[in-house]
Amino acid sequence: MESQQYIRLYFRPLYFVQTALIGLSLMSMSKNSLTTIIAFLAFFLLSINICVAENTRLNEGDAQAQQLIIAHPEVEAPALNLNELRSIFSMRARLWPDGSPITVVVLGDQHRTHRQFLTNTLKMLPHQLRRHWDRYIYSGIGQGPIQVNNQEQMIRFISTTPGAIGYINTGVPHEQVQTLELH
Amino acid sequence: MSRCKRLNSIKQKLRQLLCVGCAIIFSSFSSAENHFLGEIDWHGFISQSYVNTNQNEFMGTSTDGSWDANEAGLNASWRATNNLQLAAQALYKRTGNAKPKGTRLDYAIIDWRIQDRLEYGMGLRAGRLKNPYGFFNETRDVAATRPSILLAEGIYLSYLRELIHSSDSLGAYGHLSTLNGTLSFDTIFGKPIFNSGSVRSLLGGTPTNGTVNNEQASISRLIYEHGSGAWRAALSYTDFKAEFEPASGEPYQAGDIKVNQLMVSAEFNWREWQLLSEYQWRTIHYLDIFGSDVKNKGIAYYVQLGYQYSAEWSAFIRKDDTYTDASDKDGKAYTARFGGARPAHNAFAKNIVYGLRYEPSFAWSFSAEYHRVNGTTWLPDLENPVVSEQQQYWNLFLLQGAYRF
Repeated sequence: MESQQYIRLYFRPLYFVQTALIGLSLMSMSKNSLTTIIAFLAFFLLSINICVAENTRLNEGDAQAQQLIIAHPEVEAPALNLNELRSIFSMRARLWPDGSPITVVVLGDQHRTHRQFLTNTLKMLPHQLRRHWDRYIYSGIGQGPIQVNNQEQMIRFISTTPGAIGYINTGVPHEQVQTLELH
Repeated sequence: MSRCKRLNSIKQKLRQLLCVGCAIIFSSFSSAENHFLGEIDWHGFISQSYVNTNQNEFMGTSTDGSWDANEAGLNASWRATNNLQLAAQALYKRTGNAKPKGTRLDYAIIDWRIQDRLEYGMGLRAGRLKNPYGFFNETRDVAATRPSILLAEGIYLSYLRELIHSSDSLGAYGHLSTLNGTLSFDTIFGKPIFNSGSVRSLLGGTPTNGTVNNEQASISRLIYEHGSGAWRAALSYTDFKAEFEPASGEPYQAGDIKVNQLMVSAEFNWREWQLLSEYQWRTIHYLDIFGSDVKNKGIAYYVQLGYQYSAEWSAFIRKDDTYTDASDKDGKAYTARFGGARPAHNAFAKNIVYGLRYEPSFAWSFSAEYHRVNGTTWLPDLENPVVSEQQQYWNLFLLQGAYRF
């Protein structure tokens, strides 16, 4: 398994891009040596770093925990479908069916539970969800989600905020909040 | 003189430091645990680029290495009631010698959500709005939201940004969940935000002290996006017109300028791969200004292939081409029209870009980019005033560090 991953690493297309870059930098050397030297050094260092980062990622393992959708006990949303859930988490919809405001709570972009929730439940690519939020946050046409640091904070925040929705791993105690079913 | 310059550069560095300071202070307020400033949601960003070219100047004196490319912004949004939101952003941006320098109001929006259901919604907006054009126009000043340090210049011109960037306008929007995805619509009608440099850019780089009046823009965009984010496609249309009044003694006549832009955008995501492309038709029509009517039908497009190596690392390769007149791709008719005063390579720009990005967290991103350019369409005269010295073949190297919250 490990060795297979190493073999795959060799054939990563990024290496072709980098090789091309270094080649092109050398070609332009006669015109501007400073540019070339900076480019060469930068990409040499980056390629080493990529190896390290990639190996770290592979060694992290990938325990496939399942996630539960949780909400404030007073939220009335008997049967959410996938489209509706995506609409809520991408911050398009602002109100619950009863007219009360929705507050979306998430863990950090790189948090494993967050990424697993996106992959397993929302079935969305992490970067695509972030792109929606960025458009709302930085062009003034909406707001982003509330971010918390861990699942304990998530439960505490949701249990005390009417209209709040989030997610946790199965097995984490969550008496203070309700769980929502996906249909 | 040089002391004055140095003083200015120190002042600028101080201003940047101040921005970073503000950013860090405000970022500590924005966490969930800390409900400072009530319900107001604060966000901001700052970036600094280094630009180096082997010839031609781009974003400052780049042949010596330029640091004159940076941006910083701070915004606040407030949900006043369940269906009314207020938002505003201040932006400081420096792009070489291009105006405006200093901080200005980037947007200020009142957003009234008329319908809000889980499956659909619609509303109205008023104020200074970001133009809904293509995939990237609305967040083009936030480094982390761009797929590259420089967006395809033929489409998202840095030096003509006022024309397509934002407008004092009225807008309507809507979205509908359908067919496993979302259909979104945006339209605005209003007055684009201009400065003195924009007039010159509108006239195709021709030097002028003239003015424009009654400028109007209407911009619409339709996007379909699959629910998983696997692919999305958009159609954008811009219609702009203004009346041009030359300064006394200039060899132009008063007349209208009309600009139409149609753009098709598409993005496909498959596992770690991303294919991104936009194709734009731009028609610039000058009535009476140059004596007879002049109509330039230009095209610009790019294809970008990206690879997400891990959560932190990504790389891309991009081909982007621009022709100011699609029927005169080699610029021969163009240079003839100017009697040889402008070189043929002013009429096109063909570019290959290689880029790399490292994003250790939401907040930080570091990018490097290398461009090999054939042509000078988007090389600004502002930075290269001696037109005959502009070089057809040039290389552009950029580094960028960015922070946001």
